[in-house]
Amino acid sequence: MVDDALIGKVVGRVRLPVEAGKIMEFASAVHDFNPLYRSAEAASARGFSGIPAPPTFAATVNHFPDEELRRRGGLLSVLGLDPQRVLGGEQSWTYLRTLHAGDQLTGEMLVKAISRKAGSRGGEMVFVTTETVFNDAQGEPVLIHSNTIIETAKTVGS
Amino acid sequence: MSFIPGAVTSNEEVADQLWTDTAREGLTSAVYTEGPVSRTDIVRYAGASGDFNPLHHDEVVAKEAGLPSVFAMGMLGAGYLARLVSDWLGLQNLQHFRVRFAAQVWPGEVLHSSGSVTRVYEEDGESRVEAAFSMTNAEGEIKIRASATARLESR
Repeated sequence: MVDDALIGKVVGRVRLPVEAGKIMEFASAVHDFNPLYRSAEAASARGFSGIPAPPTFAATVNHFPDEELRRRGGLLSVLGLDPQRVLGGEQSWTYLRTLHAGDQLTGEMLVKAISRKAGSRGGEMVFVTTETVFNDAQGEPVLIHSNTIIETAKTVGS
Repeated sequence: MSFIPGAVTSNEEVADQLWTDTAREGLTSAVYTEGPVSRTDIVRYAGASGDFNPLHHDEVVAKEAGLPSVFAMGMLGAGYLARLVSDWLGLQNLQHFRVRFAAQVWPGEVLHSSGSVTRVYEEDGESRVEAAFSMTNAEGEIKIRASATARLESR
């Protein structure tokens, strides 16, 4: 069960180390073989100050919950969502600058909104929107990530 | 790349970047094609992203939940679509990217991504472009609707 009292609360702290090897691995996983993600020379030739991260790279934050979030079972568990009933709804990224290898970002996941509506096949759907502002080591915000997760009334296969 | 089982099923097309002198409303992008999506593609994305919801990689758990098979994370499709967005608008120019997931992506599906310019405008003293994108399967079912805004560079 999702508790409306979570609205406005920080539900987890995360780290987002931006590293060259992780950028290559992630770019390969999304079939992006642009040399920008693999070569400092290619990145520099295009005017980047380091190897840049692809637009959805912040998804790798799943790997780096802080100790409390990890101990509590991760984001879905903290939000009270059933992994067998969740679907991605919407995600957005606002880029205040490009992320580069070497960035050490930190962020807090804030619950922005919780809403409910009747599902098309009966029962209630719950929409939970979190927002994470990632700051760099100097404390400057560099990326705002918004994520809306949908919990369906029944398991996603039924 | 045969040393990586199941690697690289994407096309190698690279969209020409939009510039201030080429961007105009209604202009359409190249079409990027991915797939058929394999379970290996899904597992590689699980490892890269850290999304280990078993419904995406464990066929036994997926079938017990009543699903015909595992299905891809929405973010795998979003990652494929982001390649078109960053090639076309320029990664260094990207200001905002939003994806809305419309339908699940299943193993075996082929995915086509395309976009069109919806607005060319000036804001905060710079030229900007707004574009809408969609990803569909071979039958035309929409999997993802997306939008992006970016700065436009002169060349």
